[in-house]
Amino acid sequence: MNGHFAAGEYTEAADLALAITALSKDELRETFEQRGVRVLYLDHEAFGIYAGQIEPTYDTLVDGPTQEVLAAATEFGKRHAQEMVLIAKKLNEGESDPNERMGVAIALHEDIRVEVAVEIADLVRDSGFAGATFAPKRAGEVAIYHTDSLGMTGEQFVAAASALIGELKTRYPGLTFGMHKFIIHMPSL
Amino acid sequence: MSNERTIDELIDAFNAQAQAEGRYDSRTFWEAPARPGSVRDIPETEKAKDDLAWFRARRLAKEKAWARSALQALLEKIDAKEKVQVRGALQALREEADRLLGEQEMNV
Repeated sequence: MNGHFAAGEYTEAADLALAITALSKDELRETFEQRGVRVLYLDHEAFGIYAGQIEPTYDTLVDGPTQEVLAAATEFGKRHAQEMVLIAKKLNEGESDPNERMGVAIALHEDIRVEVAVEIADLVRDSGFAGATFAPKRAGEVAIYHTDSLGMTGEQFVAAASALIGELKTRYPGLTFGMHKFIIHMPSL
Repeated sequence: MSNERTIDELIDAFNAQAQAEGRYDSRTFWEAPARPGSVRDIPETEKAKDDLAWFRARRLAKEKAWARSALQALLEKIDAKEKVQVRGALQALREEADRLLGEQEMNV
């Protein structure tokens, strides 16, 4: 998969990523449910860029104790030889936490085909973000979190997000965006 | 004393800009409604074709610039005597790279 991505064969890389997640999405649901975590939404047609590589990604919304959510995700990730999993929780307005992080959400408001989605992921990577989540079926949403692994200060993160949005606006004039606070869990497996 | 703004200050300034542009969105991605069906069924519109061509042209221009600067860096590392011997080979390589990248551009 990443051989295709590195070679610029973006559509092939995306097809392979989608094939992998299609095969394992039911197993992911079962893993959460076995730990008493409710799966509110689960779709396998998403993309992730982590450490500059394309990675299988699920658009998943769950409800349950943090420990159980993390345990289930870790178990699933280990089973599939992943090095890391990423789980984000949005903080409500006015809420604060010592481990809070910034995250930007960009909605392109267009139906995005797979081959375009992966090209956008490349643009995100060029903007200095080694990691991003892309959910083409949700109005073409791109989510980027200010994780330690980015190696950016808060100011640098905001500047890079602004530059990326500036470039995307030239193609997607209806684009909307917002920055929010999240708790990010990224356990190494 | 640090001049770095706090997370709240950074977020407030960023979102104020979004609001000033009429583009502020309070949702994160999982709060946006999901399109039914598969991404593979999204029709290929003229806009989508145009977007794809734009993104690919951007990427090819980036790769071309990278290839040129890598070749330039290589030339600078070679001493004068070796430079004479390999300049021709590198020039041929550069022309071949340009030709290949040009072909890719034509295929966009």
